[in-house]
Amino acid sequence: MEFSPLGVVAVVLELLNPVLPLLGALFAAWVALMGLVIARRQRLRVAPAVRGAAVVGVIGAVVAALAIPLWSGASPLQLQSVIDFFAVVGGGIGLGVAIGVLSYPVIQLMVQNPA
Amino acid sequence: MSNESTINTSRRRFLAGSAAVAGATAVGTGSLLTSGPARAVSTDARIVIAGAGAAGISIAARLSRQLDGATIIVIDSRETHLYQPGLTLVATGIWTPSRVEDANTRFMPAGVDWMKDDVVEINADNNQVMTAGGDTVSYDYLVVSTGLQINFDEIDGMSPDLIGHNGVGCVYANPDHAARTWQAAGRYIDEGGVGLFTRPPGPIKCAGAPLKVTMIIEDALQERGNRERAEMHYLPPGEGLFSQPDIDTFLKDYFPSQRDIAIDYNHPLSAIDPDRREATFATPEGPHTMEYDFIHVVPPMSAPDMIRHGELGWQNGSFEGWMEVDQYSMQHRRYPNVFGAGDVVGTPIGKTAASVKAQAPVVADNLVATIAGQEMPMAWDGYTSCPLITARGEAMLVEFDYSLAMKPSFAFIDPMQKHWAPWFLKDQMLHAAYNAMLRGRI
Repeated sequence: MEFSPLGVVAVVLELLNPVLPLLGALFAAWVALMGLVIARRQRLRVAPAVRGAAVVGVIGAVVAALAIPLWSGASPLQLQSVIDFFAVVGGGIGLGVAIGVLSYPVIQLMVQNPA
Repeated sequence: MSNESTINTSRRRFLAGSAAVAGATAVGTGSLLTSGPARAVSTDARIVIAGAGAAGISIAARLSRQLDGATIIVIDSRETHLYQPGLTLVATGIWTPSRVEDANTRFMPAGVDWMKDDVVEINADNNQVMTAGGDTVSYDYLVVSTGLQINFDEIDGMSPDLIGHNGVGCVYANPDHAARTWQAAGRYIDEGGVGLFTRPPGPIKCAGAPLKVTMIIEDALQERGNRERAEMHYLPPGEGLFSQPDIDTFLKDYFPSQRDIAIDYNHPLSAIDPDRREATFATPEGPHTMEYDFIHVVPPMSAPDMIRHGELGWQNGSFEGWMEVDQYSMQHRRYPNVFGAGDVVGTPIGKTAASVKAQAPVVADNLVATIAGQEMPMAWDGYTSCPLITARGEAMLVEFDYSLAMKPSFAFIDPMQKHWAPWFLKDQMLHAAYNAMLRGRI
């Protein structure tokens, strides 16, 4: 049974349907914060903030990878095959990237040059 | 140019870019949800779809986009839409009943007339259906997607009221039955005893469900530390456990050797005495009565009586009583303006949501081609799928077609191995795929 790329998008949208308003609000907040980041760019120390967001993302990825099987009602011992591990690691990486990207503007606005 | 004007320019560009991305996403998403085919077929045809289950709504969604000017009438009195693939998870305590219930209004396509009534008779010679409310509805084309009926009365002593009491369970076919089954199964898991897990002769919907219920309850007994106190029997009506040969061979060894579940072949359930907790099976050697502490009853199933005893059913042969369709085109073999889909059709395999997903575009495209006077372009190859849950947290993703050969969608998932990934698919993803199917998007 094949799934087209648009079909995959359709399924993902259905999956996120219950939380779409929350995701929309989150995205709007992120855009607003990024606007602030751009506006204050001259006062900001970018490199430490990017490193900080990366650390947050990595921690988020690890926690997500550990939590995904438990969230599905399974125990980590039930990850038996390569595909299971790839799925969990892939899910963790995806969530970690999202967490890192979302956290960046918040971290960035906290890392400023002294006035 | 000063730094401040550079910043202002950068900020304007960023904001403009963000707005463009957001706008494109919204338009793209909206078009994904509302777009139609490049060129719909213009017609004033009147199409009746009997049944608003998985097949009926999926086909209605596709037809509403593929046809311009048609009158499409969906006839079904049910306001609630049931996600039936989730009932096994409700019956084994993994899901709550609310997760399988939704509203048909959420999925009924725009531009489709919804008649809240039920078709009780079909006069195919005169292109008419009659409803429970007494109406006669004419059609140019008919799609029969009524589902099947569960015949509790074909087991002496059995009725749906027994479910949840005296150790009786039955996952079919609504959340109330499934929830009550979990109540009865929960007591069995706590106390142990003899558990009987049955399967009737003939086609049933989700043929894997009786097996899944058996394995999930066995797993629950293990988790509870009560497995030693439980004796489990799986009782098929004949010599087979599953239609796909590799899985059949696997289960015949796996059940007794890995799960300590005895297989009592040739044991179709014929009667039940809930007060005495006795079940009688019509074996080739004569009636065999077994005592039980828990019994999972799977009643015989058939097409609705109007099909089973009417003109649209197979009149003889292996699929007698089920809707007589060409197993590839889904067109009725004697009434070319009638199509069938879902559990009601008499085909060698099917009766799963995965089959409906494969059938819906076939029925829609072939019906549109018939309206347009063209050759039917699509054929269903019998694709069906069963995420065979072997325990909480693991499953085997079994997919096959008319050839009975495995047809995995994901080459990296071995269908003969238990994985966590198919469990995750079943538990978290397939409901979303089902909803996308209802909207005609996959």
